[in-house]
Amino acid sequence: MKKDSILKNALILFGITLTAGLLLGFTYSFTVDAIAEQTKIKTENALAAVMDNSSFTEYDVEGDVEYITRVYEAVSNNSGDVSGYAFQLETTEGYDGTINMMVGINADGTINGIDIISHTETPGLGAQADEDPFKSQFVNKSASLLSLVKGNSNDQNIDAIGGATITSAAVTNAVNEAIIYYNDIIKEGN
Amino acid sequence: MAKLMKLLKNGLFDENPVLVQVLGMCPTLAVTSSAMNGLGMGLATTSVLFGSNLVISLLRKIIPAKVRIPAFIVIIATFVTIVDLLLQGYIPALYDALGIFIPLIVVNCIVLGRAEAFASKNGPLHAIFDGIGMGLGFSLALTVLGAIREFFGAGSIFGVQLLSTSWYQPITIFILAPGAFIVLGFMFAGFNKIKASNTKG
Repeated sequence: MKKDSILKNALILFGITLTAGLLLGFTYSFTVDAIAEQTKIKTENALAAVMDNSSFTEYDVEGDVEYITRVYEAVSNNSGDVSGYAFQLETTEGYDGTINMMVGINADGTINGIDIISHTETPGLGAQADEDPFKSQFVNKSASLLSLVKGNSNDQNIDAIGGATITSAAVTNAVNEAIIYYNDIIKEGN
Repeated sequence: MAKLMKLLKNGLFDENPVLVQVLGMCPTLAVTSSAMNGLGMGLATTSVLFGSNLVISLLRKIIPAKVRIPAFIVIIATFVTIVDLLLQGYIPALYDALGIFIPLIVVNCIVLGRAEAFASKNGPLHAIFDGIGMGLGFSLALTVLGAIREFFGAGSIFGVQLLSTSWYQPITIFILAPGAFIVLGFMFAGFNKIKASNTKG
């Protein structure tokens, strides 16, 4: 009698988990394309934001890198020449979670722009890294190491977001790695 | 019908999961740094409560008492994962905002609490209304909490700038963790005051 009830309990629980598993499998196969599409759109938007009017070819990342996850060569749609390079970066040095971002460096050695793809920084503080007063500072800076300071954004300085020094430093450090990669590997290679 | 409305009101006010039952404190404190985050978390939880309450109520005579907790958890986790995948695929903006908090709905004690205390003892229709009522009560509390924190901490509500930062220096602590505790404390006090005066009247 007791054995029967254990068997019955186990069978019912098995039935429930089996149904749950099938439902999940179905939902996954139903949404997998939409999710892949969203990820692709996000990457494409970020590429277009940091390097306008170009087509991109992905390259293998060379050497020992900490933040760079992808390197793209951008070819201008107008002239057909190489217009610059885009770097996808991931850093966990922010205040909370991973910051996923894109940096575009022009072939003439200036930064064309940065864009944050996803982040979980504090709204109102670190989240300002994804807004223009902060992002636009990087535009037209020359591609040599940037330093984070408070109060001005002249020369190679980046003005930290008030109350979000950690986020600002994480973004700047990651951009610096893209700059080093650009100078040491891409330019030297050419 | 009156019974159903009473169930809704029960979740929203009389037994509000956050303000009266003090359940689900982890998402309540963690995600409410803005009104939008609070509302999004609340509605995601409501849809899970709706689904899990319905299914658990339908299966209440089949699920043996001895294995009910693992059965409930499997059903809830399935709904959470489905909501997670659907948000990721079709509402990416909301998915970005809620990010890691969605999987936390699995361990949100409101969902398991309602399964155990209500859905496993009542019919499907009542269970659905209990789920919606509790979910909306949770959403209401989180949205109000998020709105207050966003207003003082960033000078805006739902992303609309109300206090210009040219003369208003945002009180940063409100959108950091301590601000959640402070505002929630005042909300408990205010809610108890309203309830007390209602009972007297």
